[in-house]
Amino acid sequence: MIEGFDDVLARARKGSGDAFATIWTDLSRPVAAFLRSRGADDPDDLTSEVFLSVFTGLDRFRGDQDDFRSWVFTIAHRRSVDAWRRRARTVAVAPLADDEDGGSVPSAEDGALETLSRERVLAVLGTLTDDQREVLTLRIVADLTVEQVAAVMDRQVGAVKALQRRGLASVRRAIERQGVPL
Amino acid sequence: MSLFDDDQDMRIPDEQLLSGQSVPSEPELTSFVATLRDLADGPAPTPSAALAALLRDGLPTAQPAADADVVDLGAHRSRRRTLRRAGAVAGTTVALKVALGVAVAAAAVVGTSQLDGAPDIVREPAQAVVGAVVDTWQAVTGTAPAVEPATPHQVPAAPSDPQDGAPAVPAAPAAPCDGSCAVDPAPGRGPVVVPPGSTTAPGQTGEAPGAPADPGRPAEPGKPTDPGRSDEAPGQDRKATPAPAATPAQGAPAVRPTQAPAHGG
Repeated sequence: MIEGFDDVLARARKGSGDAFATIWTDLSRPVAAFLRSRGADDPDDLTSEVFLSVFTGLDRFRGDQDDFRSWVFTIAHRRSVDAWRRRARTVAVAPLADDEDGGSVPSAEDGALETLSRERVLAVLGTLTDDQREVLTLRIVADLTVEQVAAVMDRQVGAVKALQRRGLASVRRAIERQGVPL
Repeated sequence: MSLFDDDQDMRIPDEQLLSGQSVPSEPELTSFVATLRDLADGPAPTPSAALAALLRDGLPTAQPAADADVVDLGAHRSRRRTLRRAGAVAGTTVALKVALGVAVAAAAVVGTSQLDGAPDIVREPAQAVVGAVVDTWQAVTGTAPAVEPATPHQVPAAPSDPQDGAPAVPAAPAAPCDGSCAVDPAPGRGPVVVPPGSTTAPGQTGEAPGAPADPGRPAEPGKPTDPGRSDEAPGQDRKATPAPAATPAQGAPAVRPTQAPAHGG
């Protein structure tokens, strides 16, 4: 959550770099996680595109902080759909592993365990339908309510509830079928 | 999906799981939700170059003074544009009114000069104005008149038939004609006989007696000059020079000496 959201938003509308950085720090990680769970090829680059659209379109936004969060993930949702369509029209290319990135690299053992756990989660998510995966990632990763998810996906609230229930059931069946502990 | 699966789905405490609460009856789903939620707690993504510049410097339009200048400039330009358009409309309106007034005045003067029923006190000044304008125009442009102006020797229309339009020809020349009475008539008119030494007809005060018919046109070879010129001796016999070269070529009928009395010959 952003302390003094209204003031931050007002300064961001005037083009303040500090206000942009505050918003980026608060929302960049869930947005990147959402895009990563959606199977984006380059989540970091797509996250930057989302926030460029957010910062240059602040004049169109009206609402409080919860509405702002829904608005940001609405843009992220549309960007992910566009990226998915672009990828469907092009030949899939295997990305190179970026092992040269130093700094905050975890230990080899921790990294292997973390990657394995995330890969399992993403593999289970891959067994769901697109709508089920969208609902679960927006509810869990973006931490949106049912009503906010319905607004982002332009669906009815009842449809969202049905999708999240069936999505969780599919996850449970996939875990039981694969027999892989998380 | 079977009915059993639907029944199993309905028994999932989805809201508790999705809100992050631990559900002992669903350990797999609880672990799955917790791991998926941890994805959002990973390292922050690396911003692109454009976004990094935006986070560091902000948007260039952040200065409120620049915004105020832009707004003032736009309003000033709009005001100037409106004034310029209003001035153009007003100028065009005035010019059209002046042109319309001049055209109406010119039409009134010309119409009055050509109106036969108009009284002379109105008609003569109008004719004078039209004649002056025509002479000025011909002098400036150097063009020949479409209608030969009346010579000093032209006989005015008979007062008995003023509505005829064509000048009446006197039945007989005056007695003191010395034989040089045949002159070039005006185009479209028959030959006239003018007594020598006669003055300008009444109403033709614009031309002095003895002035050439067309002062701007040079004399043509073989064509007799105006008999009223001062370099010719009065009483000179000119009945043998009927000006054959000029009249047929100019579309006027050939002049034949008519009733040239043998005075002084």
